[in-house]
Amino acid sequence: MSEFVEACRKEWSRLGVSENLSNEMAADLEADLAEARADGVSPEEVLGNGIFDPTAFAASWAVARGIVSATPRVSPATPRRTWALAAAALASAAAAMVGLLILVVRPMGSVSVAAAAFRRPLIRPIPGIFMTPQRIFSVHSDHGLDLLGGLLFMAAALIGLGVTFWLWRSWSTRRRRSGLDDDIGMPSYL
Amino acid sequence: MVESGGRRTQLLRGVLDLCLLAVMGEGSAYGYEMTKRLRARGLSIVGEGSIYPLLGRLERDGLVDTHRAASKNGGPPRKYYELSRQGRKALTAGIHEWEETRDAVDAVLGLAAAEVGA
Repeated sequence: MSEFVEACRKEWSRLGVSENLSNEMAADLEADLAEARADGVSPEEVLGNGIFDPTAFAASWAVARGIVSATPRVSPATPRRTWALAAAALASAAAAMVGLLILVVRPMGSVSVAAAAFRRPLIRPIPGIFMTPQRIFSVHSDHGLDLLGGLLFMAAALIGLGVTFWLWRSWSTRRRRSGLDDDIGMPSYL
Repeated sequence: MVESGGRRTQLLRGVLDLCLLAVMGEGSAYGYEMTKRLRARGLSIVGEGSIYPLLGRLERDGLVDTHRAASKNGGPPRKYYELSRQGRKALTAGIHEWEETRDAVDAVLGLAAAEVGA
């Protein structure tokens, strides 16, 4: 069986085409290509542009025959991926916020902002257990460490957002590739 | 402006199903046989879409009947396509539509050709 026909079979199998129909279409294709080869005719004369994209060709044929739906099957992994992407984006955004707070609010807070904002303790302190914001700021007074921590959070956020965006692009491109056109006068890859 | 290659594709997209019905009108045929009949009339699908999805759609729409039979040249059994009653009606209607459209376009392009001296 030729590489092209084998690739078609794989796509039909992925789309859920029954083995009988898959065998039938593969046999027709194989026989036509063999006859063309014997006649000295190029596969492109038989398959048109389809020869360059067996996956799209196979999907178009199956959809046109009404064997599979034109609506791409949503794999069970898709909602999980969506949630994973959303969680990664949120985590990255949260890291960015923390980094920003450390870099911007902390230096100002030590002078006036934090003091103004938290003039009254948020929680009535129980000695030895709770601390007021003023107390927290005064405990962590090393500006070099704050700067490093803030930058680390921002870097982690940027990397996280970058990876999230890259995964989103990669997954959405793959989904588009498997999207099919039901109104097939000619195959959708034309 | 559509490039000339793109225009040919667009034009074929609209009439290739009709051409397939027409070559089936000469007698039942399998896929490759139909490309041979098209090519014999100067219609190559190189650089265009494949006829197989189109044949699938014609079958789904009931415009062709199919049966499996031994190949005329002794090869493996093939799926033969032939016009159904509905397919013959569609072919007649399609030819009429094509002629009307072609004549109207010819009238417009003929006028333009005279103007530009083509």
